[in-house]
Amino acid sequence: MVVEKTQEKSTGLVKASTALTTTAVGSFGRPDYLTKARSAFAKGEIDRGELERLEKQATEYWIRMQEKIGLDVLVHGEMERGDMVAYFSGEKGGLPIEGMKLGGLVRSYGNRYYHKPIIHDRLEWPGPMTVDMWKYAQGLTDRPVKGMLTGAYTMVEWSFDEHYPTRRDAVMDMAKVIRREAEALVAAGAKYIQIDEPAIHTRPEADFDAAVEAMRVTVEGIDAEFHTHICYGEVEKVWTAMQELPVKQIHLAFKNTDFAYLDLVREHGYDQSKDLGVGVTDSHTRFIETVDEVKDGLRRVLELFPPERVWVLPDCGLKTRTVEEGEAKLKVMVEAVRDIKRELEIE
Amino acid sequence: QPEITGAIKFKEPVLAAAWQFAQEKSSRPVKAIVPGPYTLATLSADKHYGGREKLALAFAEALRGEVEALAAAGCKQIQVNDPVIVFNKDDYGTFHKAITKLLDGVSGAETGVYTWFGDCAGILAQMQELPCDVIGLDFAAGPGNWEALESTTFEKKLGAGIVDARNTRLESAAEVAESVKRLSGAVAPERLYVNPSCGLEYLPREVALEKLKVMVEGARQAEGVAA
Repeated sequence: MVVEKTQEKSTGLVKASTALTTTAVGSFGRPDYLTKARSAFAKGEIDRGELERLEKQATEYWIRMQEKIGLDVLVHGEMERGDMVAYFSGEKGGLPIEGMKLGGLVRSYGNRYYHKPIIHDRLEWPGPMTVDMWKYAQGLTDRPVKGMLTGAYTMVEWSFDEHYPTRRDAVMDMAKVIRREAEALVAAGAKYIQIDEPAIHTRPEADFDAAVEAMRVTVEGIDAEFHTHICYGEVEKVWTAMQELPVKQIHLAFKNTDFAYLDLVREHGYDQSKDLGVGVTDSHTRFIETVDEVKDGLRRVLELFPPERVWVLPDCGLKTRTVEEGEAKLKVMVEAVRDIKRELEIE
Repeated sequence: QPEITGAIKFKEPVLAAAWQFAQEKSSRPVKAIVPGPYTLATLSADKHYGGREKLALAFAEALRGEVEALAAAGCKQIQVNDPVIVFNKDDYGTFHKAITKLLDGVSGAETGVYTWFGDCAGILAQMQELPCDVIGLDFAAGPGNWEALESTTFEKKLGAGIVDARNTRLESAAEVAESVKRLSGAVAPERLYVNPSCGLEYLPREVALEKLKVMVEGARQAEGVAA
C-alpha cells in the first residue's frame, strides 16, 4: 500500500500517521513536586485547588514532552490518578462510581497495603469522571489525546463485591457505567479511547465470555476507535477468545516475553480487522533498550503484519519509571520507528 | 519468582522457633503451617532439575526436615498448604508422591493437606490415600467440592473452608450454621474442622476478625452450643 508522502496536519482529533503509529500506554512518572504535593494534600497541608494546579502543570509537561519526542497520538499521563481501579471508586480527587467505596487496607505485595475498593450498592454512572482532564490535555495540543478508562471486568475483579449475586451481574452493570463515560468522552471530542483490561485473563474458562460481552456493552455503537490494553498474564489461554473483543486494537506487552506472542499469531492467527498494539520496551525495568533492540523487535512483527496495522507503544504504563527514564524509553521507541520507516520508505 | 539454580537441601529448621513462640502465648493448640512441595515446585522457575516431579520430590525431602523439627518441638498439628493441585489435577501422581515423601511416617502430630481457590473434584477419592489425617477443601471458591464430598467416601478429617476469605461480604451466623449442618451429613462432626476458605491475608484486618467471629458463632449454632 502506497502512503502519501505529504501528510495532512493532524486536526487534533484524528492522527496524521498511517503506519507504525506511536503512542504511550497511559501513565508517566510524576515529577517530584507533584509527588510532594500529593503527600501534602493527603496531610491536609494544601487544598484541592492547589493540587489540581500542579496536576495540570505536570500534565502539560508530559504533553509537551510527548510532542517534542514525536509521538503521533498522546496520553494525558494520569498525573491525577493513583490506582487505576481506586481512581473510579473513591480515591480523593476522583469522582467515584456510585455504589463503590474504598475499603480497609489489604495486603497487595510484600508489606505493601492499599485500600481495595468495595462494590456495596448498585453501580451507577456519577457523571463525567475523566472528561475535564481529557479536555484540558487535548486543549494543549493538535495531536490526538486518547481517552483512558479501566474496563468493567478489571474494575470488578479487583474489587470486593458485597452487592451483586454473581460476578457476571456486577460486570454487566459496570460495563454500562463505563459506557456512559466513553459516551461523555466522545461528546467532548475524543476519537481514541483505551479500555484497560489487565485482569481479563484471570479466569479463562469460567468467564472470559463475560469479559467479551462486557466490552460489547461498553463500546457497541459508539463513534470512536476503541483500543484495549492487556498486560502480562497467561494471554495464550485467552488468545482465540480475545479476538472476539469488539475493539479496533489490542495492545500487548510483547517486549516482556521477547515477542513470544508472535508464535501465538503464527499458530492461532490474529483478527484481520484489528490493528495490533505492540509493546516494544519493558516498562518495569530501568534498563533503557537500544534503538537496535527495538528495531529488531519491530522487524519481527513486520514479518507478520503490514505497517499500517501496527501501533508502537511501551509494554505498559510508565508510572513506575522516573520522568527521565520514561522519556528515554519513549525516545528510543520513536527513533527506532523513524529508522524503520526510512528503511521501508514509508512516512 | 523463585529460581531453582542448584540442588535443594534442608539446612536447618525455620518454622519450629516461630511456632514455639506462638504456642507459648496460648493454652489452645496452635497449628504449624508448612508450604506444600507441589505448589513450591509449580510456582518456581526450574533451572536445575528439568522436571516438576524431581523438583517437587526435592522440595518434599527438604521440607521433611521442617516437619520433623516441628514434631520434635512438640507441635501436635502440622498443616501443609498445597493449593496449586486444584489447577493441575493431571499432575495428581506427582502431588501424591511429593506429599507422601513429606509426611509418610511422621508421628506425634496430626497432619493435614489443605487446598484452595478451586475444587478437588476428580481427585478426592485418591486423596483419601494420602498419608495425612486432614484434608482441607475450599467451598467458597470451589463450590464443586460439595458434590465431590457428597459423592466420595470421605474417611479422613475435613478442614472445611466455608467463610469466603476473599470477599468482604460478611456471611451470617445462620448461613455458616447451614453449611456446617450440610457438611455433617457427609463427615461426622468429630472429624470436622471449620475454617475460612483460605488465608485471611486478602481481607482488611477488621473484616478478617469479623469473619472469624461469625464463623465460630455459626459453628456453635450448628452444634446447638453457645458460642
